[in-house]
Amino acid sequence: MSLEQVLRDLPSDATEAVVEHNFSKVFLSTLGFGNLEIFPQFPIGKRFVDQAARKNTSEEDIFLSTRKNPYLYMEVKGRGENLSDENHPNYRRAALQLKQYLLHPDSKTVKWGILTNSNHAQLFRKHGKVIHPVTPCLPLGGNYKNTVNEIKRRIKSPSRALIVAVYNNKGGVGKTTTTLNIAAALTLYRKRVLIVDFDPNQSDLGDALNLKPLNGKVFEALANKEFDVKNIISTYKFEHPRVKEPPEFDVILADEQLVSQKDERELRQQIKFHALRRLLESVQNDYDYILIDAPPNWRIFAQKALYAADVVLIPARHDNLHSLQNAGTAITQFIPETQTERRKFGDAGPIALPIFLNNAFRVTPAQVELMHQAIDKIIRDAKRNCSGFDLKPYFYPKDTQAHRNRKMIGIPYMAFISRADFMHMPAAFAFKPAREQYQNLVKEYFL
Amino acid sequence: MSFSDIGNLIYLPFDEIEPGKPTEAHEYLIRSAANHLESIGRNWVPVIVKETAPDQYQVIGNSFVYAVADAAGLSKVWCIVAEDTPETVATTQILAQEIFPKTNLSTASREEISAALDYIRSQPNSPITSKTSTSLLSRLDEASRQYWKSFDPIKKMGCGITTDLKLKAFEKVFYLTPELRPKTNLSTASREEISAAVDYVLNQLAMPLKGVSQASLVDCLDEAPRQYWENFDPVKKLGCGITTKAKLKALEEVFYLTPEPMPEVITDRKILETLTTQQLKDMAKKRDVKGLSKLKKADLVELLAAA
Repeated sequence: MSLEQVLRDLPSDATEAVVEHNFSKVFLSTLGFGNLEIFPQFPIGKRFVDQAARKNTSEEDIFLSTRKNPYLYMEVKGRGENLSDENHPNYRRAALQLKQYLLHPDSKTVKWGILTNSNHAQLFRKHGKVIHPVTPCLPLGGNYKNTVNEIKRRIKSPSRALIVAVYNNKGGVGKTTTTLNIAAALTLYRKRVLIVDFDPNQSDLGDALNLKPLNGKVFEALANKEFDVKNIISTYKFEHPRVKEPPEFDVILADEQLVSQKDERELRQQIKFHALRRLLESVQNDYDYILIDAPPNWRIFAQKALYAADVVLIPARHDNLHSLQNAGTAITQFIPETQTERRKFGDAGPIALPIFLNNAFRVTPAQVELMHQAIDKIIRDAKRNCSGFDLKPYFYPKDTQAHRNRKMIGIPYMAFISRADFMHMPAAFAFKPAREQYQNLVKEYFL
Repeated sequence: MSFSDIGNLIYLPFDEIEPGKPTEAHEYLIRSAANHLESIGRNWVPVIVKETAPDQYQVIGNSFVYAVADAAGLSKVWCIVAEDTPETVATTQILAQEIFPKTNLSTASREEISAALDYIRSQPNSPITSKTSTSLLSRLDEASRQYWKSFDPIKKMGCGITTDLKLKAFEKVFYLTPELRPKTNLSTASREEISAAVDYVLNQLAMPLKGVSQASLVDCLDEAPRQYWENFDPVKKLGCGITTKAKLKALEEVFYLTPEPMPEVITDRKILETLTTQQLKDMAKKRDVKGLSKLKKADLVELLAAA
């Protein structure tokens, strides 16, 4: 039976069991998985995901019989459940469920998750610990072929890199330091990392590593489609007499010429909105992580950085109310704006990772309480002003309805971290306590 | 209808219930709660009991409620009858927050360790500070804790946990189910296997060997004629810092030997040099060499190597 016929015949109030029985297998086979490559009710720990699939690699390696190394999970819901509105409780519950399956230790090899109720389908990508949507909720009505092609194309050619923008439109929250040290910590776990310094006004990053800014080349790379990005990538190597294999990561430095072109309108005319995204897509199979150090404002460079990203990491400071408020604004306004722009091309656009607190120096309980009050107000305001937007999971990722847990992810203040700046190297390479802090941070977010 | 009461909510006369593990709550809490309970007269939060004999029950969970009911002078108490298995009793007491749910440090994931350390940190007078907690987490996560027989290795992690008193906080939260570390056969081991085992001895064991360099110990062991060793004593003569019985013991933790019989004729100088003078003499006697009594070890080696 063809997918078209199945979709036509399914009653509009089909329950989960009916959708699962009639639709799942046909849909997966349309996506290119054969009979021996699909396993329904796949066990994950003590629970079961509706469908798991993987391409067979040889005669002996039949997924249906080995049940090893699943590649894709699909969670199916009834037609009555609303999966097209991301703020709807049905959607949130289903997405959370899929996320839990994907993050289970038994799901190490899984790269993709599909959420569907046969009216809509959405594709999620799993990169390490990060799960982010790669398509918006796509309709499976008349133009189901489009949706199938969109999903099929992405599953076929997964990109290696996760593109992370480090952004807060408040300055001085430690974006550059964070970017640098996260890159260093990831390198220590043998990940290939590229940093993009996209803040030409400051170009701190090159300075922190004692590398000179590029003149005009980034501008050229952004404006000219034919430009080979490899020409503007430099390598930072941490040399030490006792380190046999020096850890290294690649850097695209800031371009001073982008500052001298002061007129933003002129810049917009010459550089397209998706220029940075296109630039990074050309190297995304050479890296595991691409980190963009975005400038602290909401103008052209910051917009391009967010547009290029898969996920956005927002540092804030506990003692800086504006950095917390701005984090809220970025999540409720700037990121959705960027998503709208990306959705014109069938992408889901970036999502925010939980906010993390930088440099809390000897925080007293009273200060913490003050911060929590401020955050509670930000969450309340967002709910009221942004049509019920729930900021809570971004501030308190571990909080649930049954368990009040206000733990936030953070890095304590360390003199080491700023001292390393004077030595022109990332603190995570220079000092063991700093290294452990940042390794912990990347484990928390990415690995 | 089942004959069993298990799972049922029943209204039991107070004197049919024996106390179990008594609650340690403060007297104030019990008295004050009793005043509240007296005013409504019914405990909506039930006591969890098990049946010990017909019309005989014993408290296994919510012993606080039992103590409050006692203080309030209730003649009958609402109870739930639970299974009488050690697992049920333990889990019930954990759910009633009467005993502490410990984490198995031998098998715990990084997330579990992280949560446990965070708990220790939240306690008053915690030995973990904000400065050391992250270091401790990475170091614990990477250690071969599946082989730990005690928590002593934590003391060597350089995170400020140096005394038994500080270690107590860990014993409250963690327990261990150590695996036996598989020993390596030193008679036949490859260089890589020796290297891995030596790494364990030097870095993971509770009693590190001072003044022993890992590289030189691996070299010495790899090149020595260990296939003939009947015990570990020849290690002492290798000149790699292992000279005492105590240090030898550490090696015996990870290695064992399945010696080959020594061949009758050995001319390899290197092997001869590792033998004792007595062994050399025995060997020479077998080859009918005379006048051995005055020869020194070096001469014996020379003699046997030349033959």
